[in-house]
Amino acid sequence: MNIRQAAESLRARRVSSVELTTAALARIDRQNAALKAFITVTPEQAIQQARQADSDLARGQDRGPLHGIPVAVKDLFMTRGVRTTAGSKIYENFVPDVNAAVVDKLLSAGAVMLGKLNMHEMAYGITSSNPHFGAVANPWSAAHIPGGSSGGSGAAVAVGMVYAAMGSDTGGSIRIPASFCGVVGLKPTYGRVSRYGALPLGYSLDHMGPLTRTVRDAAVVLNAIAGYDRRDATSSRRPLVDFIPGDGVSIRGLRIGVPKNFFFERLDPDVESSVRGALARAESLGATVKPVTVPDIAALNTVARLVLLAEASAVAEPFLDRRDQFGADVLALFDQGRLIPATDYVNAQRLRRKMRHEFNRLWTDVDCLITPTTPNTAPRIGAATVHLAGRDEDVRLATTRLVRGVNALGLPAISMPCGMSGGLSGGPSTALNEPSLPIGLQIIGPAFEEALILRVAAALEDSGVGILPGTVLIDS
Amino acid sequence: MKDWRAIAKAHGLDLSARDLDRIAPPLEALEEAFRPLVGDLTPGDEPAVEFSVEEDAFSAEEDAQ
Repeated sequence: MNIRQAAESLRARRVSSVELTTAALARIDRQNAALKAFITVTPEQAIQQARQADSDLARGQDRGPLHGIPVAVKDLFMTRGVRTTAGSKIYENFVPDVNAAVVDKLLSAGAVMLGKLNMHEMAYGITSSNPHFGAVANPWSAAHIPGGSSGGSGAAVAVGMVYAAMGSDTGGSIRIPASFCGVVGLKPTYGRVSRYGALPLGYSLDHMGPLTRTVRDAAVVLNAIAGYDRRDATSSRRPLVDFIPGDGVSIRGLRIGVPKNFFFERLDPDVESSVRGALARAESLGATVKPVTVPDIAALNTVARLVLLAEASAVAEPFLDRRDQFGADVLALFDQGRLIPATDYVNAQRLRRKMRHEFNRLWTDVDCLITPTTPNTAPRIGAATVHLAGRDEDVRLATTRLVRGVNALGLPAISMPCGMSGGLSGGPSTALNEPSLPIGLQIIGPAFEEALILRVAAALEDSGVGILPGTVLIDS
Repeated sequence: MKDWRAIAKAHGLDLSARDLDRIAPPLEALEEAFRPLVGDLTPGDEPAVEFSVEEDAFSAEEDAQ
């Protein structure tokens, strides 16, 4: 059941929020030991909120489509009275006295908060193999990573522990777990959703957004969390629109750009065929698919990495004398960032603005871009490299290759499932001894055009692009 | 090639040889990719992040209300 269906059932009195919440808590109870998706579960608070939601609905007080719906947030969003660890030893006992802006907005919209989701330590990595709170497992294969850093969010949504989860994305951390877990992940435009109360990784790169089971569910959550917030200096005053695509939405006449360079290089063959299959579907729906040359994304990734190294180390500086409290991978990144000269950071930000201007010229030729989200499906837990096009590539660099640059540009992007390795129906994988795993495609749009990329994603989803209903490995 | 050990020392960072061995290769690779890009910059290319007095002034007005 998705948010829309649950909301209809609630209003038709076929189910109550308490029943939805109790079922979700039971699922967490049953599956969290294996999945390690949650760090903290708040059942008493959740049941209390669900009772309130039921009582409000009974009195005709309807707060909209999230009213009474069980959700959870990545454990870097501050929650009043509930510890917020950022998946770290450093914040292990940090109990905030305020809510993050998105938490307040979700609660105002009537959502029921089930707890705090596991993540890569400090949001600084893509495996979610957390050394302090356990390695999050991929719901399709427990031997594989769920992606990260919002790995708990992706896993929890995929198995139905929650209807929606909040994640953060600094170099792909919403879109990567969405791709690896077979769910939808939306990174809105920088400034569209307040960062207030989210423990930062890279100030100028951090984006907050939802992971959900369907495209329209992501739009429902965006409707609830978007908007100006004076507590976030980068928050946008752009007027809001209704982001939810209508039924039977059309993409006829839309110009969809397909990069000729970079984005389709060194891909797992299953990834390429699934994404190209979705592009053919878009064309059959009346969109014009136009090959385009995109600016130098490798250079953009270099700039984004340098900016992140410097910003993340600046944030963590006060804690870096506690070296034994960090995982080795995260500590190595913090150490690297401390050796970046200030001049390089400033020059990277100068290059970033220049590249953004170059990239924005694309939007005169096309309305959006479609690319793979990740060049590969989920790697095995503990893998240091992935093998692509005949060569081994560092697992972090490969996994972030197609998504990181979009953070530097601040553009909205969505990842949606477009198939499984081994075929759209989830048959045996082409890779020997590998299970069939989800594949994600990415839609990138101009700044503040979330409604457009959601429309394209919804049209594809409506036309059957996605994962056929099946069973995830871990009992669901 | 940069001497990362000397740079770390100059920054006052007491990193072990093992830690330095771990971070030097990725830093070197980043340096190789980044340095040529800087040559494309002109003085008019301003950074993407800057201080905005207007925004701060607006917040102060809101605070006063």
